[in-house]
This record gives sequence, structure tokens and C-alpha cells, in this order.
Amino acid sequence: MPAPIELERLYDDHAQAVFAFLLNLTRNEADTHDLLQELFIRLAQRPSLLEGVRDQRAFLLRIAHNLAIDQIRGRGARQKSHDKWGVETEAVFAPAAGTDEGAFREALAAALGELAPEQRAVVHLKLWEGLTFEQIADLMGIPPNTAASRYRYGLDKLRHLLRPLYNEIK
Amino acid sequence: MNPDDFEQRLRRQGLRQIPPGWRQGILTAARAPKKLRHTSTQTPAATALNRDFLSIRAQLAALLWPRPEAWAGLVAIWLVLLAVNLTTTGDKYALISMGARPAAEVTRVRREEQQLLADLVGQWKVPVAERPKAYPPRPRSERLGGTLRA
Repeated sequence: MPAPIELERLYDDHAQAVFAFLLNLTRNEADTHDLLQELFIRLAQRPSLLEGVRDQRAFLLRIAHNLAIDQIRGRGARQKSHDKWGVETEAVFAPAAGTDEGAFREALAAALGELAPEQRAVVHLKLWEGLTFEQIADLMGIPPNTAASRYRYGLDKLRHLLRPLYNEIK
Repeated sequence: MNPDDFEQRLRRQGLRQIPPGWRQGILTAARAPKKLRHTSTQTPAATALNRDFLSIRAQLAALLWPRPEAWAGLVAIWLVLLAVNLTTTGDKYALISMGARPAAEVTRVRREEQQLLADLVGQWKVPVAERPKAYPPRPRSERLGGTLRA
């Protein structure tokens, strides 16, 4: 088991990024908490997971993504539908200072909820984690071209959904 | 809408901060021995299944608990019916066998009656229709003359 200070350092360095990613994927704070806790439990149980890892954040995001996908599949088996996943309106963004910015963030959160989970994951990792398509592809286990196309289509959909509001407050 | 502007605008949106209270709980759970972690060591799917099971159990308890004596009475009645059913099983078979005997006798008697009827009446033959009399055709004038003469 890594020393407690190592777990704490991992948490302090990367938990915020993993939290935001999981919250955007699940749209549920309780699920996000469970998945984040599960991630740190696995790290504590198997410290060898981190051996030889160069980019710890990308590695943690990869585990988080896999845990979230497992949750999707688990729910899909029981609910026979993935439709509800991501439709819940948990606040994904920080409160905004201005009214216009607040309205835009609400609309953006709702528009992100319209994307498929895998599409939303790519958009999040590209926009808010600044990963390259190669890194995203490696993280999600998909070809880089697929990551790029998911990002392009996801962004097009966001642009389409947000166009009226964006033009109004620009 | 300029695509670059749009992307930049999205990137500037600040993401929500992780609740500060989570840190202690998550790190404590991660360091805790396996036995002490109730649901944390289970997969999220298993945790959800567990929640479903507990929910079903609670609903059943809510349904049955308000009148436990009624359910106990129902069970007692069912047990009495089962006991009566088991004790009368032999009689039931006897009744069935008794019920089968007259049916066989009736069949035999009916067969004898049919035999007797067959003996009395004989074999059924299709009646032959009487053939029409063959009158030789006569001219109408002869028939008319005979009538006038009479």
C-alpha cells in the first residue's frame, strides 16, 4: 500500500479533475462520490497500479472512465435503457458571477446532457483537461480518429443547441 | 459563430469544485481495512443491486407487517386444508374407482342392447326405390278417343 501521504498527494493533485470528469459523465453527485471513492480504494489496495505511470492524472482519469462505463452497463442491464444516464441536472459548472454567464453555463450543462456519454467524455477531456486526441484515444481505448470525430460531432451539437443564447450574449 | 471563439468560450467555463468534506471520508475509506468497508469495496453495480434488494425487502415488510395475525391465520387455514387433503386422498381414489365401474357396466349393457337390436331387426338394408311402371307411349288422340267413348 502506498504511504498515506502518497494517497493524499494524489487526491490533492488530481481529485478535482477526476471529480469534474465523473460529475459530467454521471450528472449525479452521489454516483460521483461512490466512483471517486472506489478509485482511491483500488489505488490503496493495489499500489502497483501506479508503478511506471508517467502521467498520473491521465491514468486516474482512465480508471475513472472505466468505472463509470461499468456503472453505465450495470444500470443498462437493470433498466434496459441508458437514456436516463446523464439527463439528470446536477450542477456541473461553478456558479457564475454574471446573470448572462450563469444562463450560459446552465444551458451548456443541459446541452452536454444531450450528448451521448462517450461523446461527452471526449468533449470534456478535450475542452477542460486539454488532452490531445491521441491521449484521449489511449485513455478511452478507442482509435484517435474516433476520438476526433466524436469531439467534432459533439461540438457541432453543442454549437447548434447553444447558438441562440450564444449569439444573444456574445 | 466562429468555431474558435465558441471553443474558447466553452473552455473558460469554470467547473464545479469538489466538496471539501469528501477528502477525509474518501481517504479514510481507502485506508480502512476491507472488513470495515461495507459497500465501498463492492462495485457500484453491486451496490445498486444491494440497494434494490433492500428496497424490495422493505416494501414486502411494509405490506405484511401491519396485520401479522391475519397472515398467520391464513397460513393456519392453509395448513388445515393441506392436512384434510392429505387424509382424504385414499377415499378420493376409491370414489374415482367406484365412479369408473358403472361407466364400464353401462358400456357393456349398451353393447348388449345394440347386439339384441341387431338380431331382431337384422342387417340394415338400404330400401330400394320402386321402379316406375313402364307404360308404352300411346298417341294423345287414342287417349282422347277412349275418354269420349266412355
